[in-house]
Formats: sequence, structure tokens, C-alpha cells
Amino acid sequence: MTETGTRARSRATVVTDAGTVYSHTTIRVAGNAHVGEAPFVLLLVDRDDGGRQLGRYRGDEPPAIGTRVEVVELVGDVPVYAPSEEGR
Amino acid sequence: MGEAWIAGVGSTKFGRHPDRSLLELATEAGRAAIDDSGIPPERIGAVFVGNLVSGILTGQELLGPLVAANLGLRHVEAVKVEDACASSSAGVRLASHMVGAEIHRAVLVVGAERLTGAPREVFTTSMTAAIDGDTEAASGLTFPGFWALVMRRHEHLYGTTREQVSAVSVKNRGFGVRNPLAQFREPVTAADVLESKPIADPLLMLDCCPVTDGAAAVVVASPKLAWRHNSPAVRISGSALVSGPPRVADYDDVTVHDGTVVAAERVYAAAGIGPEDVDVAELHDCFSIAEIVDAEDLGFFPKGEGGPAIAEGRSRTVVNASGGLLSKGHPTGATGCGQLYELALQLRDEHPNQVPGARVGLAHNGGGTTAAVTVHVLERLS
Repeated sequence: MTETGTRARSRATVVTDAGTVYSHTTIRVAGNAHVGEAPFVLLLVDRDDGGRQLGRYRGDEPPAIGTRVEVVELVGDVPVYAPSEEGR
Repeated sequence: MGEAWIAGVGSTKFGRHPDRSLLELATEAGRAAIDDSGIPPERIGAVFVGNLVSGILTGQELLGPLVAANLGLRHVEAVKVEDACASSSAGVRLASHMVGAEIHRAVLVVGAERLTGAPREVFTTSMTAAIDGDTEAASGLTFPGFWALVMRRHEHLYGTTREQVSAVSVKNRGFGVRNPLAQFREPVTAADVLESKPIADPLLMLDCCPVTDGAAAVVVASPKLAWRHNSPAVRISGSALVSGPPRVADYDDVTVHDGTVVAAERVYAAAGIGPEDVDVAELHDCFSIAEIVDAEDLGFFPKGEGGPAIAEGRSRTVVNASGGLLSKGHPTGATGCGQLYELALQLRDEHPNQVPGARVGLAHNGGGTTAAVTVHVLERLS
């Protein structure tokens, strides 16, 4: 896909993706590709559109199971979540 | 289908073998299993070698023909089997098909792995070869991370506690003290677990199996051949290889590993037994929480009760008398054959942590996100 295509998809996803935290962990020992990023929080999120997805969390302290979150960024195909606007 | 027996077993010590190659370890275990069986090598028609990351970490492939040739076996069907951490037990499943269908009278299965010596990040990366590279590996998921997600959910749904999870490590490290093949021979306390380094919250270092080199092997043979050569055999009365969810997001419920549930149903039906009949079991405790989930999915306890049951010692079945992966070690591709080695010794009354009168043994081996599952039921021959 072209650069433009990727950006268009990202923008659409950012607007619509929200969900509820199903589980979480903080990775402290990472593989080679992510070693400089550790520690980082991973969330398993039940999305409002019905699927479940693994993503990153923007923040050091993971949100509790059941917290409402939304996608604020896509890094490649990986969604990055933050607490949902509706919950603030 | 005819029966298949495990006619002989062999194993190297599990641990660090910095001066020995993967092939040396594999050859030692394979030769030991053939010798143990008493079956002449020329009767072996096929060789399966279970291995996960040899190509990545050691640069060595062609393991099937190399192990066969090193053992002096010529013109056999020789191939590597890869099913992540269930590689060699998947090989045993395939061997049992071949023997049961009378394609071969005897098949050698060797599991072998060389993991130590690589930098930690390189090792962790090699293990993520068993995570879906198109989706979840990109997020930075590791195997401790997968089991941490499972543990958080288990805590949330059933109130499983840190103390209960630590009890698994304490129990299995205790068993390892008397197993001469184990990597760790020192016991640990619940306080030691709690004070160990965080790896993927809430999992700590002493919740995690070590990085291990080793090899183990079994000879799967027809009853007739084993009988003729007076092999110290045990019966394979149930054998299942089942695929499960290969991504954590694919689970309906991450605390229920459906590959294990289905494999257990199949072997219990084949063997005509239930979980209450199992005397001794080797479960895939790659992380302490995993033994709790495995034991529940195998029907040893109702879902959610594994934590308190194990912590209070309420299990009828003696689980991981070898020390398990937590203590004996986890040379990934070799682990499945290592579990069957331990069970065979139990059913032959030869185990260093012998369960008196053990008649029925069960091995559960899981690969990836419990995406490749084998369960075997072995029985003492009366």
C-alpha cells in the first residue's frame, strides 16, 4: 500500500476505535525488536466493534480491567490506547 | 489401529551444556533410548527430531538425517518436527500413528535444544518465532507477557492470589531437589519468589522456567517387537495432538485453553479413564500460573479452583514430580520427550521421586500460546 493509503486508514481507526480493557501486563524484559522500549504496557482490549485486540498503552501504570480506552495512535498496525474521552 | 508402546527412554541432564553441540546431546539421548529398549537399531524405521529454534540460534538444520546418521541408522524416514514447545511430543504422536498403522514396528523420537549462551534479547526474540509475526509479535508480546495476561484475568475472575501462584514454584522446585536431571536442585520459598525480579507483571523471575539445553528420546514400538526384546515398556493408551488459538486475541476466554480441553477429552475417551484416574502427571508449567490453568483444563479441578487446590495440596494426582519445567528446565523442543521419560520411569518404579504404585500417567505439553497441544496417557503394563 502507498503511504497515503496507510495514513487514511490510520485516521479512520483513530476516530472510531474504543473498547474495554480485558487484561493487561507490563513487559519488563522485551525481545530484540522492542528492547529499548521496555518497560511498556500491553493491553488486551474488547473492542466495541466486537473483536478483541492486543495493543500498547500510552502510560506507565496499566488501567484496571474494565476501564474504557480508545485508540489514539497506530504504530504500524499496532494500536496505542489511552483512557477514553467519555470516561474523563 | 494397533497399540503403540514406549519401549525405551533416554535423556541427557537438563541444564547448561556450553561445551556440547545440539547434535551431541541429541545423539546421546537417542542412543540411550535405543539401548534402554533393547530393540536392535536396524528395526527402527523412522526418526523424528523435535526442535524449535536450532536454525535461529545455532544455524544447524537437517536434524532428522544428521541424528539418524550419528546413531548409525541408514535409509530411514528422518525428519525434523516443529510445533513450538510441543515439538517432540508431536513427534511421539506421529510415531504412534506410524506404529499403530503398522507402517513401522519401531520409531525413534528425539527432542533436542541448545538455548543457553545467547544474549537475553536474542533468546527472547528467538522464542517469539512461536508468536504470530503478522500481528501480535509487533506489539512486543513475549511468552511471559502472554501468561501474564492470562494470570491477570485468572486473578480477576477467580480471585487467584500471588501466594497460590507462588506455591506452584515452591512445590516444583522442591521436587527438583531429588531429580538428578534437573537444572535447579535448590528449593525456593514463597518469599524468594516474591523478591525475584519482575519480568512481565505480575510474573516474576521465579515464576518462569529457566533457559535450558538438553535432549530426551523415546522409542515407540509395537507391543510384539517390545515383547520380543523384553523392553521395559509402558503402554500409550491415549495420544492427542490438537491445535489451539495461535494468538492471545483469538481466545474466547484466556483462562480456558481449549486446545488442552479438547486433547484431554480425546485421550480420556481413548484410554477409557477420567482425570480422577491419573496417578502422576507432567504438566507444561513454563510459568507457575500455567500449571494452574493446565490442571483445570485437564479436569483435575473445576475452573478457578486450581490456585487454592494446589496451594493447599488438595490434588489427588502428583503433578510435576520431576520438578517440571520450572525446576527440571525447559529445552523447548526436548521438553515433550523429557516429560514422557519421567512418566515412563514412574510407571517402571524407577523414579527418584517415585509415586508409590503409580499405574496411570499423563503428560501435557503446550506450544506457543497453547496453540499446539499434546496430551499422552501412559499406563503400566500389568
